[in-house]
Amino acid sequence: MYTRILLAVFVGSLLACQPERDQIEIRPYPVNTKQQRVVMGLAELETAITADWATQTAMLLATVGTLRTTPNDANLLAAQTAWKQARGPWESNEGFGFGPVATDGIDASSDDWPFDQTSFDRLQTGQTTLNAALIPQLATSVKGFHAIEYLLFGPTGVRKAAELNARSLQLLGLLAADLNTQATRLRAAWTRGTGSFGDSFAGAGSAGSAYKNTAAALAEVVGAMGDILDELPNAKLEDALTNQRTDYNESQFSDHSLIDYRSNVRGVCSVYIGTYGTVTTANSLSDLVKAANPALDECVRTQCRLCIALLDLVPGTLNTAIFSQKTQLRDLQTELNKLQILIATDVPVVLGL
Amino acid sequence: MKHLIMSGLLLTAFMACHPATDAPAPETNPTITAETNEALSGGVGTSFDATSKAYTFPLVGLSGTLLAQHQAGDAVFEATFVAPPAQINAGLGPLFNNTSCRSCHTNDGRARVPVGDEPFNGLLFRISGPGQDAHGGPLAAPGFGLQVQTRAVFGTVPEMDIRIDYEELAGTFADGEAYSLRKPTYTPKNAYIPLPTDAMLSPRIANPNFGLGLLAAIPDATLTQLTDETDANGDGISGRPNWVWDYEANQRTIGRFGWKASQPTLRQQAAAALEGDVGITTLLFPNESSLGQPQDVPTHGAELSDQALDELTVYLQTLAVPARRTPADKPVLAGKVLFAQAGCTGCHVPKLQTGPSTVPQLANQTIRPYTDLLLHDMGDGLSDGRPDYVATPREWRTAPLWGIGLNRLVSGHTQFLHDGRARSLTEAILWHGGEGEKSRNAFRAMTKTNRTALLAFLGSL
Repeated sequence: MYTRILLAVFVGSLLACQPERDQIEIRPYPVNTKQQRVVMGLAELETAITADWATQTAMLLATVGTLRTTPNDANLLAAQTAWKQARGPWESNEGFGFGPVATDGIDASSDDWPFDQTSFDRLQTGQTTLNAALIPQLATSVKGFHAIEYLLFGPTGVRKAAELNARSLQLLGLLAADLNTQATRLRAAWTRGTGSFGDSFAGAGSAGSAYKNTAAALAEVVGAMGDILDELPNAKLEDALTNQRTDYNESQFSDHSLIDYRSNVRGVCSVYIGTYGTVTTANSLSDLVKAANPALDECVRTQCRLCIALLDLVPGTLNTAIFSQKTQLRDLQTELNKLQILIATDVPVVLGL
Repeated sequence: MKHLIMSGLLLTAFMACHPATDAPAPETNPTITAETNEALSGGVGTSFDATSKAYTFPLVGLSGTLLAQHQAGDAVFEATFVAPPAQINAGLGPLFNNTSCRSCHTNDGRARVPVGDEPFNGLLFRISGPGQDAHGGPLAAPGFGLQVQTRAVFGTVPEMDIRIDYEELAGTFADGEAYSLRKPTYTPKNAYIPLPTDAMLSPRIANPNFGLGLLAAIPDATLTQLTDETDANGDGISGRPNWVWDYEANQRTIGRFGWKASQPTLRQQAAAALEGDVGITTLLFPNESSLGQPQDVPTHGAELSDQALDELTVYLQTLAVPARRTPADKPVLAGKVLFAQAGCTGCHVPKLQTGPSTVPQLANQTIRPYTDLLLHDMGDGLSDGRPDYVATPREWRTAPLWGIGLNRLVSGHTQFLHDGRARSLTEAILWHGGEGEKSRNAFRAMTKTNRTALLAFLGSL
């Protein structure tokens, strides 16, 4: 019901977007220095996001350390909370799903899916020596967020600290440390002034940059935003809805998937307008689009608000919503696909990317 | 080498004008221009993305059923497989190198050598014993098969680990500038059973995936025309095809894919990689790679459906070649001339024509892959000591160069050659021996300006 009402509220402004999409004026942005400022702003945003992720994973590691020292339910809850908080910046980072996060295996090591429960159970109950040297050698499907999630929340989402034996706690500590290592690596990759990938990105078009020009760097971000806006409705949500199975939900053990997905969309939209937390960049993608085609910029912003509102209105958690809120989730898919077209198709045309 | 289908008249003219390697690069020659459609390396289906995703796009214009199959195949390519029993993507192992296609071919690109405590993501080792199998292919090493799996599901022991050491080899260009090449040595360790003393190992880096449908559409007759096994024309280049076994057609045929051109079709390439790399069986290769080994598991059969294998094949077939970014830049054009003058085009054939195809964007296209798909003797320095069908240890398939200028952006590194030993395109050129030695020497003899121009050309591909 709420969804339908909300849709009605938004429908006026969205209808205004539709006819223009076919007649978008192609106006390549004339001044590359303005593109450059936006690229610099994007690098600034990613610096903030990766720093936040490193901080949150350090918090997770600390709470896991406390849990290992004193394994009680209160400390388990603190670790569970820290795990959820560490998901926030990570899932907000999809607009920057390129560079070392992909080529250096940080994404795979941190958030591979599906989680290999069979292998992990064998590891947890087996005789393999557990130490820091083992973790990098593990398949990515038995480490990272979802392995930690499995230990912290249990296979059914109901975990008691007493269920975690010494080996499980040792494994938890090693995995949390490795996740923090991945976050630290990503932060370093975007730390400016170190000859890092972040320097290459921010210096797009200059000698030594992997990006030939600022348009290529902008296209990278816009493409990554479009990718998650495709994957979310058409793979993550679609698989769970079509199969009616909770194990298709990304964070099934914690039942945190809906919040993950909210972070995905909020993350994309925040990148578009140039904000993350307390950071607001002086120049954003939105500014560029607005200068070239104000109507499109307004469409993107409106569609962002609609998608976020639809996500916020899904009651409960995704493990229940895929059964009880199918219509709402189908509406959400539809609107996410519209946002995807705006960002992945219309924005590049307008910006001449 | 018969250059029947290669460089156009313009290029030939410049070769005639600049016979000496160190002749001034024609950077200031106003008559040098890019050929018509030279940017369209992959013909009409060429994509125009210059980001890290440049290798990941479907052929421009792909639509309908083919696009749907491409997208479904993309999902197979991206899928992480897990140990059975499982509800989603079950079938990993028992032996494997990695858990998904994308784990080795990140962004559909080229893998790199592991550093530090990294696992072997994208670098694997073929293995075989002396002799040939019933089809003329490598003979499986007892207990290890045809590929070393450095990982296994828990409860199974990985076949072995391999330590990589490098020796730096110093050299100098003719102008006195120094360089260093790293020569790898591989030491097996922790083998789960004693490694046969006569076992031969061959390192292989995961290759990029784009443009494969176009290479598949090059007629056999073209490759036959390019063949000059006895070097009848006396140019020092004697390319020949690898003749391999097609397990679906049940016949010997020309190989096209892989570092030694040891796979004849994309479907067989995909199925073999699924079986050997991930431990995923198909109807084409229904046995786990552990078959007949002490750690064999009794369950065999197709873990991936034929439909999914078909979709994966279409995905590989229809990945577009990225367009060249700056084919008309003067240093690039100068480098193109130098590339030809150095004799590189004898193997890295610039232009080929595809034949008929059921995919319109693959049919009858003028493409610029910079390969002849033939085997060439690359010298002792690159020898892997292991034959592969008719390919001798010193022979390697000419690596396609299209898209290579985007490698750093796509894959985050600039490592090249079959084992990733070259840390730059310069080093890759300097490793050329055998039939490539003349070109290597020509490059070494070039001035810094000309070397830079040649590299600018490669960077534009």
